Amino acid sequence: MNFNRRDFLKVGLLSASALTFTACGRPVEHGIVSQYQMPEYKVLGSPSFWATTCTELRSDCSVSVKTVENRAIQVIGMPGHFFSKGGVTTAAVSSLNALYHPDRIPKAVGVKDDEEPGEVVGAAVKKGDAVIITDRLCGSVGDALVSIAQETGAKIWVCDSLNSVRERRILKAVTGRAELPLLDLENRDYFVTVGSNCIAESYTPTRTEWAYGRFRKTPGKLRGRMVSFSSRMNATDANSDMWEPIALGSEPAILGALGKLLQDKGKGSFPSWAALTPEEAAEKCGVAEDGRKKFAHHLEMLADRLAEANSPLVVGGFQGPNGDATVFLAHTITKMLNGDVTTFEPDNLVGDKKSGSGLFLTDEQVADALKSAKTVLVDNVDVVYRFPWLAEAFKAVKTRIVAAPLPNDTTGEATVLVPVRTWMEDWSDLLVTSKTGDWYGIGQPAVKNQHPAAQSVLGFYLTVAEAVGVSVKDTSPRAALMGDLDQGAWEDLQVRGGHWKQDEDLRYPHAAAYPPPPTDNAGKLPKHYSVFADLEPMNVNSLGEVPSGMSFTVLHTHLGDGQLSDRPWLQELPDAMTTVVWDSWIEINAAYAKQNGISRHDVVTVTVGSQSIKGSAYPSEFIHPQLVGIPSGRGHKRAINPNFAKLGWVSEGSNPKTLLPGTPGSNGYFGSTASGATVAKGVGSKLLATFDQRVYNLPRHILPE
Amino acid sequence: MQEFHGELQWGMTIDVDKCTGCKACVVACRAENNVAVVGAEQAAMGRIMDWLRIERIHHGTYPHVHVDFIPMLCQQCGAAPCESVCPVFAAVHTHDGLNGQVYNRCIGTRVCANNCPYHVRMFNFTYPTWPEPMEKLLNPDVTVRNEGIMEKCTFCVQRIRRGTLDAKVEKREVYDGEVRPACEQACAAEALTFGLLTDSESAVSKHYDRNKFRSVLLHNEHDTRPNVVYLRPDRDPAPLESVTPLGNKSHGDHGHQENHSEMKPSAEATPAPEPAASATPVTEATPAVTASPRG
Repeated sequence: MNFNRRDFLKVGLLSASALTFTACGRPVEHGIVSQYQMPEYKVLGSPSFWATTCTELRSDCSVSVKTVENRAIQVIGMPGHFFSKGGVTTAAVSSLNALYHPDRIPKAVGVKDDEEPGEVVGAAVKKGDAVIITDRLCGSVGDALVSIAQETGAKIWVCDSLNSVRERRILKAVTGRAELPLLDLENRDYFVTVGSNCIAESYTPTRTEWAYGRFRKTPGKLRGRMVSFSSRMNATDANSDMWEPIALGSEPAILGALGKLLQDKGKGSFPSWAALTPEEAAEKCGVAEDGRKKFAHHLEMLADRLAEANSPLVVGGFQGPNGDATVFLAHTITKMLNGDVTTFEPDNLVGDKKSGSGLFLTDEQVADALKSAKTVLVDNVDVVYRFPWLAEAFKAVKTRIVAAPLPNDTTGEATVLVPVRTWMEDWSDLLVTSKTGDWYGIGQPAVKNQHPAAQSVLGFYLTVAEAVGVSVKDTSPRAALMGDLDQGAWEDLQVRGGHWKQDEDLRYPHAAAYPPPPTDNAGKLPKHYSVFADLEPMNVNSLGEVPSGMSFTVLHTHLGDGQLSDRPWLQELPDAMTTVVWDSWIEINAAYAKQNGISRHDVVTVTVGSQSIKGSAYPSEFIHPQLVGIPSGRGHKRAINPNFAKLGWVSEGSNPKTLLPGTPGSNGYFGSTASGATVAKGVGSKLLATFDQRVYNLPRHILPE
Repeated sequence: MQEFHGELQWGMTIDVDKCTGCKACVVACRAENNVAVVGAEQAAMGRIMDWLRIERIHHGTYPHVHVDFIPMLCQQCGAAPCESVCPVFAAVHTHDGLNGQVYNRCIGTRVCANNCPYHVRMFNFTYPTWPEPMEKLLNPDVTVRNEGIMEKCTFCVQRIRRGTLDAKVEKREVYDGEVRPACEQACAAEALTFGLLTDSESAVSKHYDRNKFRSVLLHNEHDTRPNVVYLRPDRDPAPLESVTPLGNKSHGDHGHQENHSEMKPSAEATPAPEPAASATPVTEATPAVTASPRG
């Protein structure tokens, strides 16, 4: 074989070229990969997008967290997600504040360095007479808590701020299903709310807002109409075409009259105990005598419109003292008009079927249960702030275990304090069931755990479960999840909780943003159950009394029930209706204030029984003259870092819950209103930071009256 | 019809009818643009820094009250009053129709804010601080402004630049939806639509075309030529009167297919109000001050 110099050069050049091309072929540095596979894709200087599940609010929306070099800098909605539709909430975006909060609990308290917190807690719970307090039960964490309770005989108190257990029991009475209502406004043409802030405070706020946008302006469809009744205009009422103020507690009367009128039109049967004539309803609603005829006429017209509409939706809320009747009658009317109420189940537990009967404490049982308990395990709930009337009973329990990422009034009273991760640092799995199928909400870490001592929430509760004797191997939700899904399906889920290239992300809609079609996952879903399915239906049979005189109500804000008040972005976010930031206010009717010589910023005192709160007055056009309101969320007592608190980043203001009676109503649940309030003008004034009068030259008349 | 001087003109439509006032856009803007938290004391002096705010505007008195939530951000005016008064040319007009703010030039005279009819320019009265480890949430794509500097909404210019550079590298035009500011991305109700007004096929242009009859340019009596177009709500003044749908008639004056699938405005059911002195409804009769997606 002749191998001359030219051939040698040819071969040499070809080899060099091949080597060069091989060397240039970089490993895949982008594309859809999952955390499960732990790929080597960290590209310095280039943002990564991690799909995960936000667990701030109830809807468990799929979001993507934008990270740059392992720092989370933005939370973005996933357009293909069936709930969020690409939107996010203020709570989701401000989770970054919680993730990097300087006051995060750095280490466990009441646990020795060589001890595992889960085992210490498990040993305490195993002794018996334990109470578990949680905000919600869902997914694997929910199953772990239920397993612990069933093994040890502990009782669970679900103290959710949205009253979901109440609503489930009411819906069970109406529909036979102990599920939650889905506000499918996108399919509606007429929408009535009574004492409800359902757009801002629904179980699925992003989805409801998306649906509201469609309700107003769906291309190819018609603009829906909306009418609201309430004693204080909230963010939902503010969006309606017409708002009718009514006395607090008279909400069921509106629905009683509407139901009777619709029954007379042959739209189905309506409970006789609730039926009122429009004139009776007007009187009950506190309408002045000369206005009752007009008010009654309005109700008659509204009944006509509801009867004519193609798909009307009536939503009631727990705003007043007769919230149960309001919600019950609203769902009843929706069912009369549409044949059913659209519901969904956001709180499935991953695991084997277990009964929830005998497991739960009602609001009226919890105080006694705490008094006889040896141990209380609190799953990230600020019990002392949210239920000040339970504070003494809580403090009297010998072993007080609190798992939380951030300090609050309750962590300050804990004997065992377990720092846990925020959702951006942790794994989770949740399962939502709707009429059209089941979906997962897989949460995966978007960033490294910011505090080494912070426990994974699920990991902590599984350790507790193991310590109390529950076989984690057999009942571990994670194991069940992994076992039931084949590897491909699991990775597919992780891809949605994964990472993809930025420009593909921007080219919405992106396939990775979409969950796989429900049919593809059929049969592959893990076992799951609803622990609420066998709840007792609520027995509602009275419209309730309308309180006379001045009443007090807790106003709900974007700070929730106080759980979001440690976030500076939210503290500095003007309130939707009053535009107040950083402080509490005392909201009274503008005409009432004028009558009593009270101006904005004047110090006033609200008294209910023996309790009183002093604060700055905010006379407004949005509240009934016989009502005074103070917003929830501010007035925490606990500030772990006083220097930081001085910056104003920890709540100022007052806790309005201290004015509530603390005794459950006749339905067995705590309310958010109190009767017999008085408002007295104090001395001097204290400036409220508001932003409603700053822009003096913006046109007030750009929008039609 | 407004003439665009550059090849590109970014713009936005804001459907006030869809805005629920949830403020997710405000918080998303904070996160994206490193907007400082000023604290309770500074806030009480009105020094809140939000580049985007939700104006709660109410009409009437109790019990006859209406409320509208109006997202208010820099209108990226075509003839911006802030630009002409800056003594150091810190407020400049970019080639793609943005009102740029050059932080390095700004000497803090605040005359631009004084001249802005929309009150959307924010001044750093104090040095913005983030206690450790909160500085980790800062977006590295956006600078942190200094004390004595004016700042304002940029339409998330860092995203615009990234999108246009990517397009340039790939030798193509920026496609519609490639660039989304944080506020638009966060809006669950889809009240905000962003895009190129110079592209007649863009979503924002089509949305504008479909809803021209209810569009409003704020404060255009100053001939500021905003590139943010507000769409008035079709608030039904008498929702109890009828359930006959708004928009049961077609309105062919727009000349677009989409018009017939949209709702009829209440303005057609009731006589349209006289154009207000401080808000110019966008109509064909006012071509000189009309922002149009036609480039």
